Amino acid sequence: MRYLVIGNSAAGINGAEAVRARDPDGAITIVSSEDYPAYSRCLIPYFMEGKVSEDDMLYRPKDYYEANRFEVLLGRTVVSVHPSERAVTLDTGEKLSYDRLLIATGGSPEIPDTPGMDKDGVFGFRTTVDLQGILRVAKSADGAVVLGGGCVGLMAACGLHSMGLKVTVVIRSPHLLSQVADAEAGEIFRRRFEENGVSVITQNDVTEVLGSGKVEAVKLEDGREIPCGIIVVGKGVNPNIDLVKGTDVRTHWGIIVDEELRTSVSDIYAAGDVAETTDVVTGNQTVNAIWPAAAEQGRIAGANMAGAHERYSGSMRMNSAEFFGLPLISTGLVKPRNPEDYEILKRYVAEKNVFRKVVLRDNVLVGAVLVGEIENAGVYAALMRKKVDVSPVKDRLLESGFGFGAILGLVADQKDKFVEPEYREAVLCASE
Amino acid sequence: MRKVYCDIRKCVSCRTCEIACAVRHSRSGDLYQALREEPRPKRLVRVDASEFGPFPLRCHHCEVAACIDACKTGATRRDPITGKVLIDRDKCVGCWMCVMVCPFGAVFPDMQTGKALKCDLCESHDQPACVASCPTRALFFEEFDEFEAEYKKRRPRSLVRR
Repeated sequence: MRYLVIGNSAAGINGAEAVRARDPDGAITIVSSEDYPAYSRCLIPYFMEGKVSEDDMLYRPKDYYEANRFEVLLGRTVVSVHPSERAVTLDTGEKLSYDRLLIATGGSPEIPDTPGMDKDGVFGFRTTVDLQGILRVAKSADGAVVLGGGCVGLMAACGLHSMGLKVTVVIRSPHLLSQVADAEAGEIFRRRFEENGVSVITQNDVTEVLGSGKVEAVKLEDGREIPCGIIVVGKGVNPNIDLVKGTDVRTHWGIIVDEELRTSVSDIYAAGDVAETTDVVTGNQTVNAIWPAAAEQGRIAGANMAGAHERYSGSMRMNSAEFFGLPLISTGLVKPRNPEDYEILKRYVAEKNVFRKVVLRDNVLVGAVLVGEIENAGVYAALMRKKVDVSPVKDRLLESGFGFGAILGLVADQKDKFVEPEYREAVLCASE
Repeated sequence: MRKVYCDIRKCVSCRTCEIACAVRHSRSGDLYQALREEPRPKRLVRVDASEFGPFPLRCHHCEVAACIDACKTGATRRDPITGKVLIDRDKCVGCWMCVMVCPFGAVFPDMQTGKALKCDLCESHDQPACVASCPTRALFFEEFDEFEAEYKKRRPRSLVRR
């Protein structure tokens, strides 16, 4: 059996490993447009802050491909897939054939088409190429502008700040982190950034990038000009689906997959930031472009490519980040569009920078934001995923110590939902 | 695989396991010296209150471990021989992805060192410190089947919801 994996990050690597675990003899080839061994893109800001070395950014050991007998083609882009021939074409014109294909091509940062965005000094915040570009330009720049106030933009802001640059974050919305938190939490972080010397400009946008060839400044909607030598864009990513355009592989936002992560073509699977899956909280089809989902999808897709029939239970929006020592975990639906249909509980302890918010619908937890105190965050996520009626513990959801102990009764009472063997191990006593 | 199990009917919430765990994972390995260590040694087991009584919460080394998928550095891996889920301290950067996904809340964020901490079943010792130290013998280090069979034989006190 010949397996081809397009992509060399969370989904691709976990996919290739899952194939290898079930098929010791299959030929596995990994193709990646990035000319770099598997690394963790999430570590780029940590590298800028000097917290990790280049070697530490590697997701797997150096002898990894050899040890697993993966053939690897780095720096090659798959430009098209030919399902009827079971082959793909590379940018070099070369063709590779497969019996099973995993598309784990990820996403590309969305760069706005504002005039001047093509100047030298504008970067996404995703790849080692972005990182090298930032490092090159940062040497001669004294100011940086970050577009986007989500987790990626703010991680970039922290990274640039730690390199000694004067950083200004420019965002469209009235609050930082508007997709993952609410106004209160956004304000906590805004203060945190400003106290540390990062400027935040809200409800504004860049209308033009100024400079001759190189970025020299940005012009804002209100006419202000901010001098900067570097612009980092953190405005989300778009799935890399061009390679299947015009084929029978169905796409929408991303590549549409079924419960076994198979695409509409039976021997082609997709996983990670390119795959569109069902969000377990909202029920919507969406691309939850996060590392944990990519790794899990890759693992399940890989197993199924090698003959298993594992089911993917769906993705969930979640983010974890820490800015200037203040951690944030946000899970599920935290800002519902029709708030009147939801019950929203909040607790804010200003002097400790502790904020906790939960969102419920018909006594089922659908969202949680934890700032400052993040212990037990996964317990909230599990309650959301399993759609448990939390009425018995509702008055405790905002407590600092709310954790597994508090839900042990729920777990004992709702064994049909808590089916994993570890729950049985935990509640054996309670089940008597 | 052998893991730590608890007969919560026997747990009296004395938290001896927490102390023994923190000491075992301290630099000195000695209670009195551990008290003065910086960064302070942390416990990797936490006695929670539950409606059935005290519940010593610890990592279950899950068969399908969400923390392994979530770990973006590759620091959290399963030991291929023992099956234990372990965090490589040197690789961990404290991104808290594992904290975000652990359904038990059994990965503890150590904000002081910026490292995620969890039960390692006391890697190089015969018995985990929590089990060895438990004064009421509520904790067991064994296969689940073994624990379950014995558990059903023991009737220390009936379990009543509070």
